[in-house]
Amino acid sequence: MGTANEKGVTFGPTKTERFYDSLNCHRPTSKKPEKTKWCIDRQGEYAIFENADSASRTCIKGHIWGFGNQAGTIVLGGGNEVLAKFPKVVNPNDNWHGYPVSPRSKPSDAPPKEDIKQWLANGDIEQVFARRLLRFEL
Amino acid sequence: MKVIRVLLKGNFDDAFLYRDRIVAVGTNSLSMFSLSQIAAKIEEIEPKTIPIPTLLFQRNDWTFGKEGMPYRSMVRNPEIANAFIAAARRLKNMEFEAVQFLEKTIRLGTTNDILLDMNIYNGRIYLGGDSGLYDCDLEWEKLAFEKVRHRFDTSCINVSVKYGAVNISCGDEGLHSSLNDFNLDQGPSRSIEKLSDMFQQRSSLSLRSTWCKTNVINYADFSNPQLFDTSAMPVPAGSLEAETSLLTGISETPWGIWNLDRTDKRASAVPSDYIDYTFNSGIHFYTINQAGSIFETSLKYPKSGDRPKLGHFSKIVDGFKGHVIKTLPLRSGAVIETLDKVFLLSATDGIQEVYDSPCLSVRTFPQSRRYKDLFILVTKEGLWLNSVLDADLLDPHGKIIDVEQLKIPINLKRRATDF
Repeated sequence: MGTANEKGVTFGPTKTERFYDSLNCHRPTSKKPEKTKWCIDRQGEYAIFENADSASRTCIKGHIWGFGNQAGTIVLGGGNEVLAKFPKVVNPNDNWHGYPVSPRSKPSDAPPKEDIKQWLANGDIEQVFARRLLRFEL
Repeated sequence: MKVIRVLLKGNFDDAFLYRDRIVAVGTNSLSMFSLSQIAAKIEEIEPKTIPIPTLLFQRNDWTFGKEGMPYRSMVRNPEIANAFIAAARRLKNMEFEAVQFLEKTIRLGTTNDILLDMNIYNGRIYLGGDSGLYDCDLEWEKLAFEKVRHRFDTSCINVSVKYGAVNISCGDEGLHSSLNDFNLDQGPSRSIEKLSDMFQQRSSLSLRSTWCKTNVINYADFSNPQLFDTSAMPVPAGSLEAETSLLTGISETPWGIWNLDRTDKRASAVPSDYIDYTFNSGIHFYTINQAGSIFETSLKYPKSGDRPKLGHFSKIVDGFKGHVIKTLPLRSGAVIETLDKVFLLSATDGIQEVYDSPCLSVRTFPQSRRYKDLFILVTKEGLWLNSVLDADLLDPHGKIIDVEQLKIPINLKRRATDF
Protein backbone atom coordinates (compact mmCIF):
# COMPACT_ATOMS: atom_id res chain seq x y z
CA MET A 1 0.00 0.00 0.00
CA GLY A 2 1.23 3.48 -0.79
CA THR A 3 0.98 6.74 1.08
CA ALA A 4 -1.09 9.48 -0.54
CA ASN A 5 0.30 13.00 -0.75
CA GLU A 6 -0.33 16.13 -2.81
CA LYS A 7 1.78 14.90 -5.79
CA GLY A 8 0.33 11.41 -5.87
CA VAL A 9 1.07 8.20 -3.97
CA THR A 10 4.46 7.13 -2.59
CA PHE A 11 5.42 3.44 -2.50
CA GLY A 12 8.42 1.61 -1.10
CA PRO A 13 11.03 0.99 -0.16
CA THR A 14 12.02 -1.59 -2.78
CA LYS A 15 14.60 -4.27 -2.06
CA THR A 16 17.24 -1.75 -3.09
CA GLU A 17 15.84 0.82 -0.61
CA ARG A 18 14.31 3.05 -3.26
CA PHE A 19 11.02 4.93 -2.89
CA TYR A 20 8.66 5.49 -5.80
CA ASP A 21 6.20 8.34 -6.43
CA SER A 22 3.20 7.49 -8.59
CA LEU A 23 2.59 11.05 -9.80
CA ASN A 24 -0.90 12.41 -10.42
CA CYS A 25 0.27 14.15 -13.60
CA HIS A 26 0.86 10.74 -15.26
CA ARG A 27 -2.47 9.27 -14.18
CA PRO A 28 -5.43 9.10 -16.63
CA THR A 29 -7.31 11.82 -14.70
CA SER A 30 -4.52 14.36 -15.30
CA LYS A 31 -5.41 17.22 -17.64
CA LYS A 32 -1.83 17.78 -18.81
CA PRO A 33 -1.82 16.72 -22.49
CA GLU A 34 1.97 16.79 -22.72
CA LYS A 35 2.29 14.00 -20.15
CA THR A 36 1.90 10.35 -21.11
CA LYS A 37 -0.58 8.49 -18.90
CA TRP A 38 -0.50 5.06 -17.30
CA CYS A 39 -3.48 2.82 -18.12
CA ILE A 40 -2.72 0.42 -15.26
CA ASP A 41 -3.50 1.15 -11.60
CA ARG A 42 -1.00 2.74 -9.22
CA GLN A 43 -0.12 -0.59 -7.61
CA GLY A 44 0.62 -2.01 -11.06
CA GLU A 45 2.72 1.05 -11.88
CA TYR A 46 4.80 0.46 -8.75
CA ALA A 47 5.08 -3.27 -9.57
CA ILE A 48 6.62 -2.35 -12.95
CA PHE A 49 9.16 -0.13 -11.18
CA GLU A 50 9.88 -2.67 -8.44
CA ASN A 51 10.45 -5.43 -10.98
CA ALA A 52 12.77 -3.26 -13.12
CA ASP A 53 14.64 -2.11 -10.02
CA SER A 54 15.18 -5.62 -8.66
CA ALA A 55 16.31 -6.78 -12.12
CA SER A 56 18.87 -3.91 -12.12
CA ARG A 57 17.55 -2.75 -15.48
CA THR A 58 19.44 0.55 -15.30
CA CYS A 59 20.81 1.77 -18.62
CA ILE A 60 24.18 3.39 -19.31
CA LYS A 61 22.50 6.79 -18.88
CA GLY A 62 21.23 5.90 -15.40
CA HIS A 63 17.52 5.54 -16.24
CA ILE A 64 15.57 2.45 -15.18
CA TRP A 65 13.37 0.75 -17.80
CA GLY A 66 10.27 -1.33 -17.15
CA PHE A 67 7.82 -3.47 -19.10
CA GLY A 68 4.99 -5.89 -18.42
CA ASN A 69 6.33 -9.09 -19.97
CA GLN A 70 9.31 -10.44 -21.90
CA ALA A 71 7.54 -10.20 -25.25
CA GLY A 72 6.62 -6.55 -24.70
CA THR A 73 2.96 -7.15 -25.47
CA ILE A 74 1.38 -5.74 -22.30
CA VAL A 75 0.08 -2.21 -22.79
CA LEU A 76 1.03 0.09 -19.91
CA GLY A 77 -0.01 3.49 -21.24
CA GLY A 78 -3.08 5.19 -22.67
CA GLY A 79 -1.25 5.71 -25.98
CA ASN A 80 -0.59 1.95 -26.27
CA GLU A 81 2.89 2.28 -24.75
CA VAL A 82 4.46 -0.99 -23.61
CA LEU A 83 7.64 0.51 -22.20
CA ALA A 84 8.12 2.62 -19.06
CA LYS A 85 10.97 5.00 -18.32
CA PHE A 86 12.02 5.88 -14.77
CA PRO A 87 14.41 8.80 -15.28
CA LYS A 88 17.62 9.00 -13.28
CA VAL A 89 17.19 10.93 -10.03
CA VAL A 90 19.43 13.90 -9.25
CA ASN A 91 20.31 12.78 -5.72
CA PRO A 92 20.64 9.09 -4.80
CA ASN A 93 18.13 9.46 -1.98
CA ASP A 94 15.45 11.18 -4.09
CA ASN A 95 12.21 9.33 -4.77
CA TRP A 96 11.91 7.86 -8.26
CA HIS A 97 9.02 8.40 -10.63
CA GLY A 98 8.17 7.14 -14.09
CA TYR A 99 5.85 7.18 -17.08
CA PRO A 100 5.00 5.17 -20.19
CA VAL A 101 7.09 6.02 -23.29
CA SER A 102 6.86 5.33 -27.01
CA PRO A 103 10.19 5.45 -28.90
CA ARG A 104 8.11 5.50 -32.10
CA SER A 105 6.51 8.80 -31.08
CA LYS A 106 9.67 10.18 -29.50
CA PRO A 107 12.89 8.43 -30.58
CA SER A 108 14.86 10.13 -27.80
CA ASP A 109 12.79 8.01 -25.38
CA ALA A 110 14.34 4.78 -26.68
CA PRO A 111 16.65 2.80 -24.39
CA PRO A 112 20.29 2.69 -25.60
CA LYS A 113 20.81 -0.18 -28.06
CA GLU A 114 23.69 -1.59 -25.98
CA ASP A 115 21.26 -2.06 -23.08
CA ILE A 116 18.58 -3.62 -25.28
CA LYS A 117 21.14 -6.15 -26.52
CA GLN A 118 22.23 -6.86 -22.95
CA TRP A 119 18.62 -7.43 -21.79
CA LEU A 120 18.20 -9.86 -24.68
CA ALA A 121 21.43 -11.67 -23.79
CA ASN A 122 20.30 -11.88 -20.13
CA GLY A 123 16.95 -13.35 -21.15
CA ASP A 124 15.07 -10.35 -19.72
CA ILE A 125 13.33 -9.79 -23.04
CA GLU A 126 12.49 -11.93 -26.04
CA GLN A 127 13.95 -11.38 -29.49
CA VAL A 128 10.67 -10.03 -30.85
CA PHE A 129 10.65 -7.29 -28.19
CA ALA A 130 14.34 -6.44 -28.74
CA ARG A 131 13.85 -6.07 -32.47
CA ARG A 132 10.74 -3.95 -32.09
CA LEU A 133 12.56 -1.65 -29.67
CA LEU A 134 15.58 -1.32 -31.97
CA ARG A 135 13.27 -0.59 -34.92
CA PHE A 136 11.35 2.14 -33.01
CA GLU A 137 8.14 0.21 -33.66
CA LEU A 138 6.69 0.55 -30.17
CA MET B 1 -10.31 -14.04 -48.84
CA LYS B 2 -8.84 -17.15 -47.27
CA VAL B 3 -5.27 -17.82 -46.24
CA ILE B 4 -3.72 -21.20 -47.00
CA ARG B 5 -0.48 -21.73 -45.15
CA VAL B 6 2.20 -24.25 -44.31
CA LEU B 7 4.76 -24.16 -41.53
CA LEU B 8 8.43 -24.83 -42.20
CA LYS B 9 9.76 -25.56 -38.73
CA GLY B 10 13.18 -24.14 -37.92
CA ASN B 11 15.05 -21.35 -36.21
CA PHE B 12 14.98 -18.21 -38.35
CA ASP B 13 15.18 -14.45 -37.81
CA ASP B 14 13.70 -13.34 -41.11
CA ALA B 15 12.93 -14.58 -44.62
CA PHE B 16 12.43 -13.22 -48.13
CA LEU B 17 11.05 -14.69 -51.38
CA TYR B 18 13.14 -14.12 -54.47
CA ARG B 19 13.67 -15.94 -57.78
CA ASP B 20 11.91 -19.16 -56.77
CA ARG B 21 13.65 -19.29 -53.41
CA ILE B 22 12.99 -18.64 -49.76
CA VAL B 23 16.07 -16.86 -48.43
CA ALA B 24 15.91 -17.34 -44.66
CA VAL B 25 18.28 -15.56 -42.32
CA GLY B 26 19.49 -17.32 -39.18
CA THR B 27 22.40 -16.60 -36.87
CA ASN B 28 25.18 -15.44 -39.20
CA SER B 29 23.85 -17.55 -42.05
CA LEU B 30 21.50 -17.62 -45.01
CA SER B 31 19.47 -20.75 -45.70
CA MET B 32 18.15 -21.24 -49.22
CA PHE B 33 15.00 -23.24 -49.96
CA SER B 34 13.64 -23.82 -53.46
CA LEU B 35 9.93 -23.00 -53.72
CA SER B 36 9.58 -25.37 -56.69
CA GLN B 37 11.08 -28.20 -54.68
CA ILE B 38 8.90 -27.40 -51.67
CA ALA B 39 5.77 -27.48 -53.82
CA ALA B 40 6.87 -30.69 -55.57
CA LYS B 41 7.77 -32.47 -52.32
CA ILE B 42 4.52 -31.52 -50.61
CA GLU B 43 2.59 -32.80 -53.62
CA GLU B 44 4.67 -36.00 -53.49
CA ILE B 45 4.04 -36.50 -49.77
CA GLU B 46 0.35 -35.55 -49.99
CA PRO B 47 -0.83 -36.11 -53.58
CA LYS B 48 -4.36 -35.04 -52.64
CA THR B 49 -3.10 -31.47 -52.26
CA ILE B 50 -2.27 -31.24 -55.99
CA PRO B 51 -2.24 -28.58 -57.53
CA ILE B 52 -2.55 -26.21 -54.56
CA PRO B 53 1.13 -26.14 -53.43
CA THR B 54 2.33 -25.27 -56.94
CA LEU B 55 -0.48 -22.83 -57.57
CA LEU B 56 -0.32 -20.95 -54.31
CA PHE B 57 3.34 -21.06 -53.32
CA GLN B 58 5.39 -21.51 -56.48
CA ARG B 59 3.24 -19.70 -59.05
CA ASN B 60 1.01 -17.42 -57.03
CA ASP B 61 0.69 -15.25 -60.17
CA TRP B 62 -1.33 -18.00 -61.87
CA THR B 63 -4.35 -16.99 -59.78
CA PHE B 64 -4.60 -13.32 -60.79
CA GLY B 65 -3.97 -10.90 -63.66
CA LYS B 66 -3.39 -12.09 -67.25
CA GLU B 67 -1.55 -15.21 -66.07
CA GLY B 68 -4.58 -16.12 -63.94
CA MET B 69 -7.12 -16.24 -66.77
CA PRO B 70 -6.97 -20.06 -67.26
CA TYR B 71 -7.34 -20.63 -63.51
CA ARG B 72 -10.29 -18.26 -63.23
CA SER B 73 -12.00 -19.87 -66.21
CA MET B 74 -11.46 -23.36 -64.83
CA VAL B 75 -12.83 -22.69 -61.37
CA ARG B 76 -16.11 -21.44 -62.83
CA ASN B 77 -16.85 -25.13 -63.15
CA PRO B 78 -18.26 -26.07 -59.69
CA GLU B 79 -16.69 -29.55 -59.77
CA ILE B 80 -13.22 -28.14 -60.42
CA ALA B 81 -13.77 -25.47 -57.77
CA ASN B 82 -14.84 -28.19 -55.34
CA ALA B 83 -11.69 -30.19 -56.08
CA PHE B 84 -9.54 -27.10 -55.47
CA ILE B 85 -11.23 -26.47 -52.13
CA ALA B 86 -10.78 -30.10 -51.07
CA ALA B 87 -7.07 -29.91 -51.97
CA ALA B 88 -6.69 -26.63 -50.11
CA ARG B 89 -8.38 -28.08 -47.02
CA ARG B 90 -5.99 -31.02 -47.14
CA LEU B 91 -2.98 -28.67 -47.23
CA LYS B 92 -4.25 -26.31 -44.52
CA ASN B 93 -1.78 -25.73 -41.69
CA MET B 94 0.51 -28.63 -42.68
CA GLU B 95 3.83 -28.66 -40.87
CA PHE B 96 7.20 -29.73 -42.24
CA GLU B 97 10.75 -29.69 -40.94
CA ALA B 98 12.39 -26.94 -42.99
CA VAL B 99 15.67 -28.85 -43.17
CA GLN B 100 14.15 -31.43 -45.55
CA PHE B 101 13.77 -28.69 -48.17
CA LEU B 102 17.17 -27.07 -47.54
CA GLU B 103 19.08 -26.35 -50.72
CA LYS B 104 22.12 -24.60 -49.29
CA THR B 105 23.35 -22.79 -46.18
CA ILE B 106 25.73 -19.88 -46.62
CA ARG B 107 27.84 -18.67 -43.71
CA LEU B 108 27.93 -14.88 -43.68
CA GLY B 109 30.77 -14.26 -41.25
CA THR B 110 29.22 -10.97 -40.16
CA THR B 111 29.19 -9.55 -36.66
CA ASN B 112 26.69 -10.48 -33.98
CA ASP B 113 24.19 -7.94 -35.17
CA ILE B 114 20.50 -8.18 -34.45
CA LEU B 115 18.86 -8.30 -37.86
CA LEU B 116 16.39 -5.42 -38.21
CA ASP B 117 15.43 -5.59 -41.88
CA MET B 118 16.35 -7.23 -45.16
CA ASN B 119 15.69 -6.76 -48.84
CA ILE B 120 16.73 -8.44 -52.08
CA TYR B 121 16.87 -6.49 -55.31
CA ASN B 122 18.60 -7.02 -58.64
CA GLY B 123 20.35 -10.09 -57.27
CA ARG B 124 21.79 -8.25 -54.26
CA ILE B 125 20.93 -9.11 -50.66
CA TYR B 126 20.72 -6.17 -48.24
CA LEU B 127 20.81 -6.83 -44.48
CA GLY B 128 20.06 -4.03 -42.02
CA GLY B 129 21.40 -4.61 -38.52
CA ASP B 130 22.05 -2.67 -35.35
CA SER B 131 25.61 -1.93 -36.48
CA GLY B 132 24.68 -0.87 -39.99
CA LEU B 133 23.88 -2.00 -43.52
CA TYR B 134 25.53 -5.01 -45.15
CA ASP B 135 25.12 -6.34 -48.67
CA CYS B 136 26.31 -9.20 -50.81
CA ASP B 137 25.94 -9.99 -54.50
CA LEU B 138 24.87 -13.57 -54.92
CA GLU B 139 25.46 -15.75 -57.95
CA TRP B 140 21.96 -17.17 -57.97
CA GLU B 141 22.62 -20.17 -60.22
CA LYS B 142 25.40 -21.51 -58.00
CA LEU B 143 24.22 -19.85 -54.78
CA ALA B 144 27.72 -18.50 -54.22
CA PHE B 145 29.00 -15.10 -53.25
CA GLU B 146 32.36 -13.40 -52.90
CA LYS B 147 32.07 -11.32 -49.75
CA VAL B 148 29.72 -9.44 -47.46
CA ARG B 149 30.30 -5.68 -47.61
CA HIS B 150 29.68 -3.36 -44.68
CA ARG B 151 28.00 -0.45 -46.47
CA PHE B 152 26.94 1.91 -43.70
CA ASP B 153 27.76 1.95 -40.01
CA THR B 154 24.60 3.35 -38.38
CA SER B 155 21.82 1.14 -37.02
CA CYS B 156 19.63 0.41 -40.04
CA ILE B 157 15.98 -0.30 -39.26
CA ASN B 158 14.48 -0.29 -42.77
CA VAL B 159 15.89 -0.96 -46.24
CA SER B 160 13.86 0.09 -49.27
CA VAL B 161 15.20 -0.53 -52.78
CA LYS B 162 13.76 0.39 -56.17
CA TYR B 163 14.78 2.16 -59.40
CA GLY B 164 18.43 1.38 -58.67
CA ALA B 165 18.35 3.39 -55.44
CA VAL B 166 18.65 2.24 -51.83
CA ASN B 167 16.99 4.18 -49.02
CA ILE B 168 17.90 3.25 -45.47
CA SER B 169 16.02 4.47 -42.40
CA CYS B 170 18.16 4.87 -39.32
CA GLY B 171 15.63 6.27 -36.80
CA ASP B 172 16.93 9.49 -35.26
CA GLU B 173 20.09 9.15 -37.39
CA GLY B 174 17.97 9.93 -40.43
CA LEU B 175 17.15 8.78 -43.96
CA HIS B 176 20.10 8.05 -46.25
CA SER B 177 20.01 7.27 -49.96
CA SER B 178 22.41 5.74 -52.43
CA LEU B 179 21.41 6.51 -56.00
CA ASN B 180 22.62 4.32 -58.87
CA ASP B 181 23.66 1.67 -56.35
CA PHE B 182 24.52 -0.74 -59.17
CA ASN B 183 26.78 1.73 -61.01
CA LEU B 184 24.95 1.44 -64.28
CA ASP B 185 26.93 3.09 -67.07
CA GLN B 186 24.01 5.35 -67.85
CA GLY B 187 23.80 6.65 -64.30
CA PRO B 188 25.33 9.73 -62.70
CA SER B 189 29.06 9.21 -62.24
CA ARG B 190 30.55 9.35 -58.75
CA SER B 191 33.96 9.37 -57.22
CA ILE B 192 33.77 7.13 -54.18
CA GLU B 193 36.51 6.62 -51.61
CA LYS B 194 34.47 4.72 -49.03
CA LEU B 195 31.35 2.60 -49.52
CA SER B 196 29.48 4.70 -46.96
CA ASP B 197 30.15 7.80 -49.12
CA MET B 198 27.63 6.43 -51.61
CA PHE B 199 24.92 7.40 -49.13
CA GLN B 200 23.66 10.93 -48.77
CA GLN B 201 21.44 12.06 -45.89
CA ARG B 202 17.95 13.18 -46.98
CA SER B 203 16.17 13.65 -43.66
CA SER B 204 17.16 13.85 -40.00
CA LEU B 205 14.52 11.36 -38.91
CA SER B 206 13.23 8.22 -40.58
CA LEU B 207 11.42 5.17 -39.25
CA ARG B 208 10.58 3.76 -42.65
CA SER B 209 10.56 4.71 -46.33
CA THR B 210 8.47 3.48 -49.22
CA TRP B 211 7.78 4.42 -52.84
CA CYS B 212 4.95 6.23 -54.55
CA LYS B 213 5.63 5.90 -58.28
CA THR B 214 9.26 7.10 -58.43
CA ASN B 215 8.81 9.46 -55.45
CA VAL B 216 10.25 8.54 -52.08
CA ILE B 217 7.92 8.55 -49.07
CA ASN B 218 9.64 9.11 -45.74
CA TYR B 219 7.94 8.21 -42.49
CA ALA B 220 9.64 10.43 -39.91
CA ASP B 221 6.66 9.42 -37.81
CA PHE B 222 3.58 7.39 -38.69
CA SER B 223 1.16 10.30 -38.69
CA ASN B 224 2.58 12.67 -41.29
CA PRO B 225 4.37 10.99 -44.22
CA GLN B 226 6.59 13.18 -46.38
CA LEU B 227 6.97 13.00 -50.16
CA PHE B 228 10.37 13.62 -51.75
CA ASP B 229 10.19 14.61 -55.39
CA THR B 230 12.67 12.74 -57.59
CA SER B 231 14.17 12.75 -61.07
CA ALA B 232 14.78 9.63 -63.12
CA MET B 233 16.23 8.54 -66.42
CA PRO B 234 15.29 5.57 -68.62
CA VAL B 235 17.31 2.36 -68.52
CA PRO B 236 16.84 -0.79 -70.61
CA ALA B 237 14.46 -3.38 -69.12
CA GLY B 238 16.40 -6.12 -67.39
CA SER B 239 19.19 -3.96 -66.03
CA LEU B 240 17.19 -3.25 -62.84
CA GLU B 241 14.79 -6.16 -62.45
CA ALA B 242 11.79 -5.29 -64.67
CA GLU B 243 12.07 -1.54 -64.04
CA THR B 244 12.89 0.88 -66.82
CA SER B 245 13.79 3.93 -64.71
CA LEU B 246 16.91 4.79 -62.78
CA LEU B 247 16.61 7.36 -60.01
CA THR B 248 19.04 10.22 -60.58
CA GLY B 249 18.03 12.78 -57.97
CA ILE B 250 16.00 13.35 -54.82
CA SER B 251 14.72 16.80 -53.83
CA GLU B 252 16.16 18.42 -50.72
CA THR B 253 12.84 19.47 -49.20
CA PRO B 254 9.93 17.08 -48.82
CA TRP B 255 6.22 17.88 -48.98
CA GLY B 256 3.84 16.81 -46.23
CA ILE B 257 1.38 14.43 -47.85
CA TRP B 258 -1.57 15.91 -45.95
CA ASN B 259 -0.55 19.42 -47.07
CA LEU B 260 -0.73 18.63 -50.79
CA ASP B 261 -3.44 20.38 -52.81
CA ARG B 262 -6.73 18.54 -53.07
CA THR B 263 -8.13 17.21 -56.33
CA ASP B 264 -11.39 18.78 -55.32
CA LYS B 265 -11.64 21.70 -52.91
CA ARG B 266 -14.77 20.11 -51.47
CA ALA B 267 -12.88 16.87 -50.83
CA SER B 268 -13.03 15.76 -47.23
CA ALA B 269 -10.05 16.69 -45.10
CA VAL B 270 -7.67 14.37 -43.29
CA PRO B 271 -9.77 12.52 -40.68
CA SER B 272 -9.77 14.83 -37.71
CA ASP B 273 -9.42 12.12 -35.06
CA TYR B 274 -5.87 11.47 -33.99
CA ILE B 275 -4.03 9.44 -36.64
CA ASP B 276 -2.41 6.43 -34.98
CA TYR B 277 -0.73 4.97 -38.05
CA THR B 278 -0.33 5.70 -41.76
CA PHE B 279 0.96 3.50 -44.54
CA ASN B 280 0.96 3.49 -48.31
CA SER B 281 0.90 0.98 -51.11
CA GLY B 282 2.11 2.94 -54.12
CA ILE B 283 -0.23 5.89 -54.63
CA HIS B 284 -2.78 4.59 -52.12
CA PHE B 285 -2.51 5.93 -48.57
CA TYR B 286 -4.27 4.47 -45.54
CA THR B 287 -4.68 5.98 -42.09
CA ILE B 288 -5.76 4.21 -38.94
CA ASN B 289 -7.09 6.43 -36.17
CA GLN B 290 -7.32 5.79 -32.46
CA ALA B 291 -11.00 4.95 -32.78
CA GLY B 292 -10.03 2.01 -35.04
CA SER B 293 -11.34 3.44 -38.31
CA ILE B 294 -9.26 2.86 -41.44
CA PHE B 295 -9.48 5.47 -44.21
CA GLU B 296 -8.16 5.30 -47.75
CA THR B 297 -7.11 8.07 -50.11
CA SER B 298 -4.85 8.24 -53.14
CA LEU B 299 -2.53 10.68 -54.86
CA LYS B 300 -3.39 11.81 -58.37
CA TYR B 301 -0.44 12.68 -60.60
CA PRO B 302 -1.30 15.35 -63.18
CA LYS B 303 -0.02 14.77 -66.72
CA SER B 304 1.75 18.12 -66.61
CA GLY B 305 4.32 16.66 -64.22
CA ASP B 306 3.26 18.97 -61.39
CA ARG B 307 3.10 17.88 -57.81
CA PRO B 308 0.50 15.18 -57.09
CA LYS B 309 -2.81 16.07 -55.49
CA LEU B 310 -4.61 14.41 -52.65
CA GLY B 311 -7.94 12.74 -53.38
CA HIS B 312 -11.01 12.00 -51.27
CA PHE B 313 -10.82 10.08 -48.02
CA SER B 314 -13.16 7.17 -47.67
CA LYS B 315 -13.67 4.97 -44.64
CA ILE B 316 -13.07 1.31 -45.43
CA VAL B 317 -13.11 -0.34 -41.99
CA ASP B 318 -14.58 0.55 -38.62
CA GLY B 319 -13.86 -0.81 -35.17
CA PHE B 320 -10.40 -2.25 -35.68
CA LYS B 321 -8.75 -2.96 -32.33
CA GLY B 322 -5.04 -3.40 -31.73
CA HIS B 323 -1.88 -1.33 -31.63
CA VAL B 324 -0.43 -1.42 -35.15
CA ILE B 325 3.27 -2.25 -35.35
CA LYS B 326 3.59 -2.49 -39.10
CA THR B 327 1.40 -2.70 -42.18
CA LEU B 328 2.55 -4.22 -45.46
CA PRO B 329 0.79 -4.17 -48.83
CA LEU B 330 -0.34 -7.26 -50.74
CA ARG B 331 -1.99 -7.45 -54.16
CA SER B 332 -5.33 -8.18 -52.55
CA GLY B 333 -5.04 -5.87 -49.55
CA ALA B 334 -2.59 -5.57 -46.69
CA VAL B 335 -1.15 -7.50 -43.77
CA ILE B 336 -1.43 -5.68 -40.44
CA GLU B 337 0.90 -6.65 -37.60
CA THR B 338 -0.19 -5.61 -34.12
CA LEU B 339 1.51 -6.16 -30.77
CA ASP B 340 0.37 -9.76 -30.51
CA LYS B 341 -1.57 -10.63 -33.65
CA VAL B 342 -1.49 -10.47 -37.44
CA PHE B 343 -4.51 -9.54 -39.57
CA LEU B 344 -5.38 -9.60 -43.24
CA LEU B 345 -7.13 -6.49 -44.57
CA SER B 346 -8.98 -6.93 -47.85
CA ALA B 347 -11.58 -4.93 -49.73
CA THR B 348 -13.99 -7.85 -49.84
CA ASP B 349 -13.77 -9.20 -46.29
CA GLY B 350 -12.52 -6.34 -44.14
CA ILE B 351 -10.27 -7.50 -41.31
CA GLN B 352 -9.54 -11.14 -40.59
CA GLU B 353 -7.16 -12.55 -37.99
CA VAL B 354 -4.44 -14.78 -39.43
CA TYR B 355 -2.06 -15.34 -36.50
CA ASP B 356 -2.45 -14.85 -32.76
CA SER B 357 1.10 -14.44 -31.38
CA PRO B 358 3.86 -11.85 -31.82
CA CYS B 359 5.95 -12.37 -34.97
CA LEU B 360 9.69 -11.90 -35.43
CA SER B 361 9.09 -10.79 -38.97
CA VAL B 362 6.18 -10.15 -41.32
CA ARG B 363 6.96 -9.75 -44.99
CA THR B 364 5.04 -9.21 -48.24
CA PHE B 365 6.35 -8.99 -51.82
CA PRO B 366 4.25 -6.51 -53.80
CA GLN B 367 7.17 -5.67 -56.12
CA SER B 368 7.62 -9.28 -57.20
CA ARG B 369 5.96 -10.82 -60.23
CA ARG B 370 5.07 -14.19 -58.76
CA TYR B 371 4.54 -13.57 -55.04
CA LYS B 372 2.22 -10.56 -54.87
CA ASP B 373 -0.33 -12.44 -52.76
CA LEU B 374 2.11 -14.39 -50.59
CA PHE B 375 3.28 -13.35 -47.18
CA ILE B 376 5.76 -14.79 -44.73
CA LEU B 377 5.48 -14.82 -40.95
CA VAL B 378 8.61 -15.75 -39.03
CA THR B 379 7.77 -16.92 -35.53
CA LYS B 380 9.36 -18.95 -32.75
CA GLU B 381 7.95 -22.05 -34.43
CA GLY B 382 9.53 -21.38 -37.80
CA LEU B 383 8.51 -19.87 -41.08
CA TRP B 384 4.85 -19.67 -42.10
CA LEU B 385 4.39 -19.47 -45.84
CA ASN B 386 0.96 -17.93 -46.46
CA SER B 387 -0.95 -17.58 -49.69
CA VAL B 388 -4.14 -15.57 -50.10
CA LEU B 389 -6.92 -17.32 -51.97
CA ASP B 390 -10.01 -15.63 -53.35
CA ALA B 391 -12.69 -17.80 -51.72
CA ASP B 392 -15.54 -16.01 -53.51
CA LEU B 393 -14.07 -16.97 -56.87
CA LEU B 394 -14.07 -20.65 -55.93
CA ASP B 395 -17.43 -20.57 -54.23
CA PRO B 396 -19.51 -17.68 -55.61
CA HIS B 397 -22.81 -18.97 -54.24
CA GLY B 398 -21.54 -19.85 -50.78
CA LYS B 399 -22.56 -23.49 -51.07
CA ILE B 400 -19.22 -25.04 -50.22
CA ILE B 401 -17.59 -22.55 -47.90
CA ASP B 402 -19.45 -20.68 -45.21
CA VAL B 403 -19.17 -17.49 -47.24
CA GLU B 404 -21.84 -15.53 -45.40
CA GLN B 405 -19.79 -15.42 -42.24
CA LEU B 406 -16.70 -14.33 -44.14
CA LYS B 407 -18.50 -11.28 -45.48
CA ILE B 408 -19.01 -9.74 -42.05
CA PRO B 409 -16.70 -6.71 -42.32
CA ILE B 410 -15.14 -7.14 -38.91
CA ASN B 411 -14.82 -10.74 -37.98
CA LEU B 412 -12.23 -11.10 -35.30
CA LYS B 413 -13.63 -14.36 -33.92
CA ARG B 414 -13.24 -16.25 -37.15
CA ARG B 415 -9.76 -16.60 -38.58
CA ALA B 416 -8.89 -16.25 -42.22
CA THR B 417 -7.04 -19.53 -41.84
CA ASP B 418 -10.24 -21.41 -40.86
CA PHE B 419 -11.39 -23.28 -43.89
